[in-house]
Amino acid sequence: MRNSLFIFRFSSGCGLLGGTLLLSVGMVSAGENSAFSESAYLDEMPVVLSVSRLSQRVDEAPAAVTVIDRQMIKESGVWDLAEVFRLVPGMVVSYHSARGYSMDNTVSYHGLSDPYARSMQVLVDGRSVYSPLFGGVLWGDIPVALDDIERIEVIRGPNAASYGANSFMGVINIITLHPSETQGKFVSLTTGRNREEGVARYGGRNDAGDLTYRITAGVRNDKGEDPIIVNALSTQGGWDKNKFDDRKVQQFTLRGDYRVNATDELEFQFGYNGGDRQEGDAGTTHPFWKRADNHFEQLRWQRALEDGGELSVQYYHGYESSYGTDINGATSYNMDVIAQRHDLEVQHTFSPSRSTRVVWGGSMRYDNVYAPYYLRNSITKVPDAHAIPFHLGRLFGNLEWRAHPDLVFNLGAMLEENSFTGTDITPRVAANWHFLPGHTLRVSNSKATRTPTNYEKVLADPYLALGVVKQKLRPERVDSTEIGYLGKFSDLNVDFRIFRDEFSDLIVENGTSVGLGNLNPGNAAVKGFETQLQWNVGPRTRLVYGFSHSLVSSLNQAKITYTDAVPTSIQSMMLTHRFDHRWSTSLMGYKTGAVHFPETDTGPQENPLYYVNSYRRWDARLAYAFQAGTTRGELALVVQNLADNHYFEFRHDNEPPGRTAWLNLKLDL
Amino acid sequence: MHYWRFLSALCLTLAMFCLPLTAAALDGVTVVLSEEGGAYAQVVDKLRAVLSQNGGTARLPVKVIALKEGDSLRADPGQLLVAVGTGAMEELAQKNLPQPVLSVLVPRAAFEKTARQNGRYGDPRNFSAIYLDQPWARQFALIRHALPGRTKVGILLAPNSTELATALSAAAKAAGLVAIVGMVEGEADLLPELKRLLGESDVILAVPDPLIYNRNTVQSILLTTYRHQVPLLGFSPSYVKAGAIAAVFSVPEQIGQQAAEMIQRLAADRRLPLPQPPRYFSVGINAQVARSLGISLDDEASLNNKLKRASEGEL
Repeated sequence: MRNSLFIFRFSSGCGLLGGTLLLSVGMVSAGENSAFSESAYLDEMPVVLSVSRLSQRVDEAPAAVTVIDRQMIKESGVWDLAEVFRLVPGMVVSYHSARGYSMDNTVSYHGLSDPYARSMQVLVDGRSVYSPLFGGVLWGDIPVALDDIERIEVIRGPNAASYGANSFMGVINIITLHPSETQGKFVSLTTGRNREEGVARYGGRNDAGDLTYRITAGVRNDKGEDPIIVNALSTQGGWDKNKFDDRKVQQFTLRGDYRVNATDELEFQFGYNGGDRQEGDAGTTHPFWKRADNHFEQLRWQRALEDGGELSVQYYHGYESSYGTDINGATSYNMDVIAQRHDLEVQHTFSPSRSTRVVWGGSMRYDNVYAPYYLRNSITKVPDAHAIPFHLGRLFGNLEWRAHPDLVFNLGAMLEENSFTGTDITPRVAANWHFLPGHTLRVSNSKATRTPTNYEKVLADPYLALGVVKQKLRPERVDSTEIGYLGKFSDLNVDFRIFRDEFSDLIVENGTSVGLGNLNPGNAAVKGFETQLQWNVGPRTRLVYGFSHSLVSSLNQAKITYTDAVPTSIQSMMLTHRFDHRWSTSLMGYKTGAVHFPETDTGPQENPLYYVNSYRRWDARLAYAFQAGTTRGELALVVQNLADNHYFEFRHDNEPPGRTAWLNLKLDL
Repeated sequence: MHYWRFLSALCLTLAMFCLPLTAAALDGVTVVLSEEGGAYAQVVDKLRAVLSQNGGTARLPVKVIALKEGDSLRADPGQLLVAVGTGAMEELAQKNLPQPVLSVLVPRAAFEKTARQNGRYGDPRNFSAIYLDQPWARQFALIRHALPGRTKVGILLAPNSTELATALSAAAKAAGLVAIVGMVEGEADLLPELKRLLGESDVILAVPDPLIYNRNTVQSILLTTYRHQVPLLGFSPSYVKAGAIAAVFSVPEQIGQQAAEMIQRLAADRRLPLPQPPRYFSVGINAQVARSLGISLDDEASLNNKLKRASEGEL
């Protein structure tokens, strides 16, 4: 699904570099006739800013949103896509913290998660990259180049009414550039401590100009964390070693947009991301290398309707796989994983009246996962070589009603039926009141579910079969209420919200929950506030600041200490300054409060290994833009962790690299 | 009847030798279409409808021929020739016929160029036009009324249209706005120059130049301006549909109406009025784009009225 912000789905790209501009001296005479003809006025033009390309205004969206644009991604100096979410209020990002299966980054909104942070839906150009096996997202395995991203919309809070299950605590919507904006040749080269990357892109079009495309290819060599933890809390049991997390990435993406006529557009995408990945956590002496192969194919047809509405049909196939045999002493394990997804969606947008707008549609999804090791019988531990199927059907709708020029209501709901947990309806209501020009108050209530993953389902099934657990595995639920304020002052944009999220039926995968006979024992209420400021300090200086404060109340069922699983406060800032048209700089600061994520360590709170301490971190970037002939370029020096702070993220076997610098050269040829 | 015909022939002869074509009664209109169908046909349909309504003057017969039949063009001396579109205008200008020629559905730049090239520039009473493009004052008035507070108007010009810069700046100034002109020299320039302009502008005014605005570029231009959250004013209904926030334009029927009225007034005296901008026009807005940009726009009718009142003084 590709709603832009909450309601309207987003077509993939938009962007910068465009069309074949006729021009050039040689062409002037050819152009001269038409230069002075009426055809410019009479010619039909394609519908460019169709509904799905238009973002809903942030102050009319039924939820809190953070938009990270292309410029911000670049200026933040991030290396991994996941790192950019550090700039979103309330977001907890941990570097290479996942253990087993993937040594990837963990991105969770408000914490409460294990390394697979499965509570957020993530879409790239409307395609869900939520992993079917463990849930969550394998960030480093997504076939998308940072340089192809146009912007990222992060919805803070549940949004199942628009995005369906798993839009549980938030939604991340990644939108890539339209090929008409990536015409020409582009190269990006990076070299530095423990990281190297080369990306090349070519954007072209056919002679008629109705087909634009781009091809992006890249290789990356990422050495990840340092092998030895500098500030180890313990030298026992491998707690002085970082995990094995080196990865080599080969990536290739293709996108073509074909304009059939003035109203119809076809978009095709293909992407591949693969390479060798290391696995192995603190206790292991040698890394386990496996080969990852991920790809997807996506086709979308979109028609702009006469009444300003839009009809779209989208199909995609996602393929996530990794191969390897883990040899542990005399035993070897088949660690292969093949997870596939087919998804077909139809969506229609229209305005029944001047003051209302409706988007509705439906989708069908089929996932199947083969993972003999991970999907082994939870009691007998016998590997299961069957692929587990999952079916999902959805109907969704949202009515936006402008009751008054200053008052907008959004009423939405999603009806879902899946083969794991049956049928659910998740509604949402929101009212946005522009009580003064530039000042908006938003009140909303939203319900959402998270469907158990294949892993959770397979874990539960044997207990159900034995009768140890009586209740079927249920989806997790959240009921979220918030009051938000958005204000525009002369140079300052303020976004503030107070929220209360009531989580119930949280799934717990441990012996205690089995003993309870209920695998959905968890309940927690998270309340707090967060704010996001954008301040144009001067004409060339900008500050983006985020702050989030959360408190959890919970009975900590099944020995899960939900009450410690959300950092009380999280702050982020990004200060950018442009000295002149050549030199620019940015400084990023992040501070995350102490936290104990579920199932990272056990033991009483006095245990020094219990909390991951609060940390501060500073990153910086200095860039020099230049032009040589028709080539435009930028050379940037990025330094992460300026203060060379050795701290932990997520768990005590996970110390992100100390001060790390690299050079990046980008050329538009 | 014979007498009149003789007299008019005599007058014509006299006129050709002594005076530029003057007072000879108009006994018909011959319309030459650049192309058949489409907008060209819409102009002539309206023209014919109005002229056949017998609105105050004698009904005038309207004969329509396509440009491709132009070689066999045999208009009677008492005819007024109406060229619809640039192709027809160029053809008639080259033929240098004795009858007066009114060109419609032609951009001002096209008319001026054709008139100059064919030595008819100083002869507006016999070679005149109703332009298709709106006067700058009207376009700036639209900016003032539709987007109050947006004073910095970014305009991209290519080598072909450089000469407009002075007129644009003056018209902007008269409207209390500032025109910021970006020059696009070559293909690679367009988007960088647009982006530079977007950094300094509150609104972009699209000035038709096929080197800048064409089917291939419209996508990247509209996406880029939208990305910068800057509204773009187009120059045709089609641009509004594509994603321009608004445009003021004249549809073919409106041009046909004006041409018919002009011809009716001219029935007694075949001297054409001076070339003029469109008298009738419409404002189109794209409410979805406006809303997404957080801009509250008046509706089309009220903007139309405001512009009408503003342009009363222009004509």
